[in-house]
Amino acid sequence: MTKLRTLLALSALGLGALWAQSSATNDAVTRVVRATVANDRDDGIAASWQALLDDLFREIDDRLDREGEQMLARRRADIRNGASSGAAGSTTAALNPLLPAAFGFSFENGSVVRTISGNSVTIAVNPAGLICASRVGVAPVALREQGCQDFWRRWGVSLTFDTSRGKNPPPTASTLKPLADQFAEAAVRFEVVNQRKPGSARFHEGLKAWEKDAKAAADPINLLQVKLTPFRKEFETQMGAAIGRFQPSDTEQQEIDALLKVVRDVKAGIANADPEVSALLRGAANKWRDTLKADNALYNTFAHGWVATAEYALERPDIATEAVGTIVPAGTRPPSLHTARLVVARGLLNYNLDFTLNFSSSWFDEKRPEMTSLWRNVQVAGDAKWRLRDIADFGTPTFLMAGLYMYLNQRPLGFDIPQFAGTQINEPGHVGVFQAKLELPTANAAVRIPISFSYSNRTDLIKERDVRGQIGISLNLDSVFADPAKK
Amino acid sequence: MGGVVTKDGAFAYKVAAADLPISIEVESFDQTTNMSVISDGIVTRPADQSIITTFPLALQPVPAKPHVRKCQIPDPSAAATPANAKYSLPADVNLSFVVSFATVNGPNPRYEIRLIPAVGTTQKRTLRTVRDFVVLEHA
Repeated sequence: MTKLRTLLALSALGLGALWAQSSATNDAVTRVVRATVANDRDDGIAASWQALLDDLFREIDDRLDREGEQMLARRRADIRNGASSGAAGSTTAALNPLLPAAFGFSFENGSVVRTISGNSVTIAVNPAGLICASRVGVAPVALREQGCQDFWRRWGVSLTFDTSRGKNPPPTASTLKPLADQFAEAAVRFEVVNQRKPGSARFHEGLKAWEKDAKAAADPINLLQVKLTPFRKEFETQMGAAIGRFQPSDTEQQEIDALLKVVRDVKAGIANADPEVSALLRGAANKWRDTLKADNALYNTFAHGWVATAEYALERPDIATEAVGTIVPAGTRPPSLHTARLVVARGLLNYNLDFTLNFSSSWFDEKRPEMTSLWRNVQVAGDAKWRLRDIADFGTPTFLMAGLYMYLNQRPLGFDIPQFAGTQINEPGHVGVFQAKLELPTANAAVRIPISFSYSNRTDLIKERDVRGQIGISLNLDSVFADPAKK
Repeated sequence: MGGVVTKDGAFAYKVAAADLPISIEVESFDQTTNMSVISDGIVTRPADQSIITTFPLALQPVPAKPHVRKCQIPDPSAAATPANAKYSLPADVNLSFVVSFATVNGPNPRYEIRLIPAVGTTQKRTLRTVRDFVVLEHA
């Protein structure tokens, strides 16, 4: 019994020590295990040593945990690729604030507010970005660097095509006749404010503060490294010896465990109680915490700053008519829609959370008989977006919850249609939508797969509750072009 | 070994007199801004790690290369070298790097540290974490 108790206690101690090691240590030793060339292995060993130091810092100052944790997911999720909520295929209740720096493409199935769902293909282009890509290279454009057509690169256009047109609704369902013309929407965007790029004065102030703090940390950390030279040398020797003992039959986890044991053993040998080492560790940890704070503040400016984008969109209706009573002559479309939209975004660093708000209003292109005015609707939509933990080689998944409210001032098609599939349709009123959405990245975030579910009290044409699913795929070439080494 | 900086494990590089001065370049990839700093150089005796001298270093922008920052480790025997960067051999030059990944804007964010000797082959290190440490072992 005593033996069992001792064994349990030792196991608990062992597990506790293992858990005490940060995920950075695990990541670093995994790099060592997976390295196929000596240089990569050495880089992994160097990273493992730095992770060991981080663990020592954290033991002195547990506030470092908080600062470090905030640096987990650092990829942006504020680029608009898809169609607006009014499209036949859209996975988005609230549009993201920024357009791709050069080119983006998306395919989406399932509508958010439209009664008749379909498929939308959206192409988003930054014309000046494309010109600059051919002039100064794609990487600087994808990284949104300054220096080429900076004003014109704030403009973007997107075109949406409804590839299901001509099929929905079936011609036999009503007096409505489907159109074969697949053009659905054209939009022009202008970035009014964008603090999420390094050209802003606020970013430069943050950068200066970071450089000052980073230099103030680099010097004591360098001195600490000098004092820890015997331990570092032992660490390198022990890591090399452990790697030398790897057997072909060992699993990757066994190899990782062997290296983690080296990290643990060497760390245990560094006597925190030694007054000289202790003082150096404390000084370095304090300076390091200041650096991480400055780093987080700068990241906050870059990734969570204000963005405001103004957009004008022209939407062509997807239901054409044959004659509807005496109101709509045969062969005419419902009137087109003009939409003005403002997209505003701001984030909260402490929660790794980004808020987006859309305000929009739409007007009919022409006033037809029985229409009260040109004004069709006003819409407010917003989302709260969490970036989840980065998945290596895939990207950062995001989860968002969104709400949308639309007030339809008059009939959504602009004219009266008696019924559709036996239901009263085309009525003014209030539309509310709640949406939950998960965006899964692949191919290092270049390709994203949005999957969403929405609940609405009604859709644009039919006053009935609706629960729907939407799915899409989007390609943002910024991620592909951003790495000059891949050109 | 003259004229060729040679790698000696995960941290150290063997340096000969002909290698100096050594340029150090730090280049960022998949980030909007190169955020990197270097510590001052601490020169120590290899035998007991006692400190001989400390000399200031600072990474500076490189014209027309917005993602590269650069500094130089001076030759301790050169006449123009400041007094605090002069020392007798053998000696180790200890350097720490601090970088940031606050402006990640691509799939594979990293820094590349290049040690470029006056003559010979450049040595490269890839940095995917926020700190690094390098020792130049000057025999």
